[in-house]
Amino acid sequence: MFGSYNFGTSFNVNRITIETYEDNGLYIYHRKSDPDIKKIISAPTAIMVHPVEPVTQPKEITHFLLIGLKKPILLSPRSTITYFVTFPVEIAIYASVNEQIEHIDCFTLTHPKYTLYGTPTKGHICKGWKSDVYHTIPEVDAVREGVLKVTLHNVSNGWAELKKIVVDAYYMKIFYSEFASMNAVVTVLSKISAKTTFLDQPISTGMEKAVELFRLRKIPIVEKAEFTMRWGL
Amino acid sequence: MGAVIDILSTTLYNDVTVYDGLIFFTVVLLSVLVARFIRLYLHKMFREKVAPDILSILEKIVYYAVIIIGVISVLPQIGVNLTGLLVAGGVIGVVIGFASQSVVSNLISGLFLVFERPVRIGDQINVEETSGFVEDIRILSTIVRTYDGIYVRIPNEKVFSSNITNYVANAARRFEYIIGISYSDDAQKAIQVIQNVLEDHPFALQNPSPNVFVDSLGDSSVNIAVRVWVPSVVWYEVRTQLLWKLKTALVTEGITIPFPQRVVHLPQKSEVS
Repeated sequence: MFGSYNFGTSFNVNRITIETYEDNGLYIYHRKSDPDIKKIISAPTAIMVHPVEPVTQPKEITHFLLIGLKKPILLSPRSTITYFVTFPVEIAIYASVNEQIEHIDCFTLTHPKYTLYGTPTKGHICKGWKSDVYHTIPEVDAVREGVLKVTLHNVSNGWAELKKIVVDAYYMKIFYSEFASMNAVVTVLSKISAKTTFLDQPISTGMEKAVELFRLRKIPIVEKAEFTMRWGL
Repeated sequence: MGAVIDILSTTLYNDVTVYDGLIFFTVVLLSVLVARFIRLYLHKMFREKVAPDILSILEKIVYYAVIIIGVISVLPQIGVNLTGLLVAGGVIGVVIGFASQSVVSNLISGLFLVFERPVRIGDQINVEETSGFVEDIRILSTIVRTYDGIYVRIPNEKVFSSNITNYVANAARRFEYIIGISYSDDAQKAIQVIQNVLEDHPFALQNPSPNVFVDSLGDSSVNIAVRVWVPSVVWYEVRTQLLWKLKTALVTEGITIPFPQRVVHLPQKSEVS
């Protein structure tokens, strides 16, 4: 599903059909879904289908993603371990000419739900998601779920219980092959705080880097930045 | 060496020597350099926190203030008597002060607004009787676009000294509906239907979770309270959408929303006689 498609091709993402075609001299991008989306492209360009930072649908009101763990992880003091969790996939369509990329469309097949991390006065609105925790890369429904590799470092001297992971979409590095993936590091600082960041590395070989939507919009982003979870784990 | 000392000791006018002149120019130059450094530091520190126009004014104020302080402090070196200057400055200051009292008040309030940041550009606020979106925070006034699209300029002094309600300062906000159902309907079922609609709505927050409960037994209906937390930025949108979704879902599940009812007992004929 993810990859590049020449103008004039058509493909399905579950029940959604995406096609590009010429109609009376107009080059049309058409997503057959509810709602139906049609756009005119000025030239018959190739289109790219990439996973995108999963915080844009149904409305971009936050840049945080909160992954609630269905089973909490108890981390022993001064330990490091790697697990895999899932994250919701949003699919973006881009037009590309001479390496100039433009965002055309975005949709998701998951049911979006928002939640609050922290308190109403000091917290952050986050896109919410629930995930099981896996020891190896899980099989996922690629149009709905991606795989997040999480390396957990407990640098504190006590045990810590991790029930949720909050990440900032500004720093996401998404890769794709058959499915979307990200590679994150969670550094647990205490029982109530942790830092989360992303590695610019795929979780397995042969994966391609997806277009970063926020960089495409030229939003100034601090390199190697991290998000501090200060309202509990 | 002796020649240099001679030159430095040369009198320019009154008791002012070349040496005094050099001291004056060095201090002025240093003041300019320090002012530039502070301006640069302010720019780097606040460029992402303060609106560019306000930051620009702030930088200018600090820049010229540092230079003026530097120049005034070294004026006696070139024979300028500060006492006379202060007296003249004081008189002029009093005159200007009276004339520009409200301007200065607005300016100071504007600076406090910049630092305290009770409102930001784009926020939805209410100041006294004006509600709307903050379009701009200027050095003397705050510009608000009301919900019906009217431009309102509020002097910063008024904004600063009034009660400000900022509807989007907090991440999440709650609203409440009271939904009356018929006494003959199953309130538990109605609560479940409402909870399902809330669960299905993306912006009805999972945490803090919605609160749905029988609130009161009214004259004509069992009143169910529905309290929902939503992101502040979509609060109005959700509040206006959700009620109809709840009504539709309740009706679909066969739950009736009654009209006000009154039971009237008419006396029988025999009772009348």
